[in-house]
Amino acid sequence: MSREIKKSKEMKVSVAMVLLLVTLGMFAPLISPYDPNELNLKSRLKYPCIEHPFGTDNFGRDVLSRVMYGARVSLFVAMSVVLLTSSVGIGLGIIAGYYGGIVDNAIMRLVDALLAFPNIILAIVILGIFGTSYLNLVIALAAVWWVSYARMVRGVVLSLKESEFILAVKALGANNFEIMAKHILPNAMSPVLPLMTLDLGSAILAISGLGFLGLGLQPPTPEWGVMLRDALPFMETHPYLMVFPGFMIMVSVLAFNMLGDSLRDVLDPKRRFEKGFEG
Amino acid sequence: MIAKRLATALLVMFFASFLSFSLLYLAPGSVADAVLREQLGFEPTEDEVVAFITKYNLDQPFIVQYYIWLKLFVTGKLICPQTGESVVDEFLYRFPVTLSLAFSAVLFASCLGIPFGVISAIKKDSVIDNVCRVVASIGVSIPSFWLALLLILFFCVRLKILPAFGFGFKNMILPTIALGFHLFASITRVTRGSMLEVLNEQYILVSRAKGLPERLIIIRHALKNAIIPVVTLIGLQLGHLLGGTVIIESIFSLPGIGKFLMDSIFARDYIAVSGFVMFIAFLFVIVNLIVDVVYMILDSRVRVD
Repeated sequence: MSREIKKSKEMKVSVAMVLLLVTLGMFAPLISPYDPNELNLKSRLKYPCIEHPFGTDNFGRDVLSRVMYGARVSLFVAMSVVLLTSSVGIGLGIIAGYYGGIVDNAIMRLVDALLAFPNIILAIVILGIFGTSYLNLVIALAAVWWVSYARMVRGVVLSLKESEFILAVKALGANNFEIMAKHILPNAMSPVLPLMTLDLGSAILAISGLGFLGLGLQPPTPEWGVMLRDALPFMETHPYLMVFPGFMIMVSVLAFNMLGDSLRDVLDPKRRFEKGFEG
Repeated sequence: MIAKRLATALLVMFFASFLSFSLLYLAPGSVADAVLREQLGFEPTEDEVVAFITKYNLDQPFIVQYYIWLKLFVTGKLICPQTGESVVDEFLYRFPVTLSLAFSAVLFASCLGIPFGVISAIKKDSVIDNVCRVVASIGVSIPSFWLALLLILFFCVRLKILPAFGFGFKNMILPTIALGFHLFASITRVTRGSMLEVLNEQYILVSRAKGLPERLIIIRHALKNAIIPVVTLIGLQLGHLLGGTVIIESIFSLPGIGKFLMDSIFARDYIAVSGFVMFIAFLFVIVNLIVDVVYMILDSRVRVD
């Protein structure tokens, strides 16, 4: 009983954190005190003060405003990644599980091949070879991540396919597409939702990591990883520059991790121990 | 059983090689131009480009090029245009660095994570348990590169007790912590959860009823079974760890395979990149194979299909 209460508390806290983050991202243009890319060479590298609570960077840009816009950028890219990843993964997973045979084999061998790479490595290489842009970033991350959705959904579909209600729908003359979209998809979603939430956190980590390596979004985009990279030369003299962006990454990942874990406990209690993989 | 698993691993390697080569093949712009420009430092002439293309068979169809590439790779004759060394030599030269980094990170993570998890489970809901859980939650969320920067800031810039760059025992401490911290946090969480589960089992109750000392029950009976999910976790996370070395090696300037991969990418040395991607896939498949075997030995109930 005490466990249930604790879990719901965890969920409330994480929902609050995620909502705060989304609000910050959505209303960044309204609440940020300065334009995130406004150069002001007169106030370069200012320590935190009243006008600039988080200080200013080497171009005189306000760090607080950039951190706020960072939430907008990170959330937007992370959501794009997760949406693309999950739709490709779920689609291919359902097709593989439903049709079986050659189709299943082809998809699963592709899955095996992709699983032979640590996921971030392939993203790094794709971005390194094809160049960095918003679209390439989303594609590079989605190209490797859809695999976990496909495997998970395929497993669910395999057991669902033989269930009586699907046989009944078939007997009623529903076509394959209808069965997959209307009857299998909704039933396959309960293990997928926690994974999507956890992956939002993983995506934020991966995006900032790639940004930090110089392979993600490019300056002057106010992205947290890019900001950390920009702060490197000033590490000894202006360490505050690298505190706030990193802290924001940690807090957002923590929020999505907590929310994903508590969702999983509610929706899919069997898989409690297995954690999502981070990039 | 193991033979079947080996066959699958070989098949996976084959597909992985196809994928690695496709990346090289699909690289936009002329690879010849890019490589020559890097090598010469100025625009290559028409003749030089043509010579390069024939030398590396870039005018052949995809499948032929793939065959040549694979043959060169397998026989160890794939040469990095950048350094003139073969990809195998480059890899073997850098592999020990990455291996020791990954190994020490796993060691660090398990030596701290397992005891923390066990203590957390035994003293459930106590102060220690809550502290462990908060640390673990933060640990799985903190970006490894940010942790690395904070460690450098604290130990190298402020306290000046550890060197930030270079390669040696003292230089490995911070990269190990930065790389292993995420794994340490996950191990703590999983050990705790799995211990709690096992401690509720009937055979633990029986051991207690028999009057066995608590220490013996925890270590001999509970931990022995609770450790299985932890081994699975370490196996699953090894790939993540391997990926993490890229970023950590870059920050600490450790001459490992991750740093070389990044340098090759920025130098547009795509041949080296394709070779290294292959080696990393190879490594990863072998690691997974070992994890499966260890898993089978640990838990006789598991049958890997």
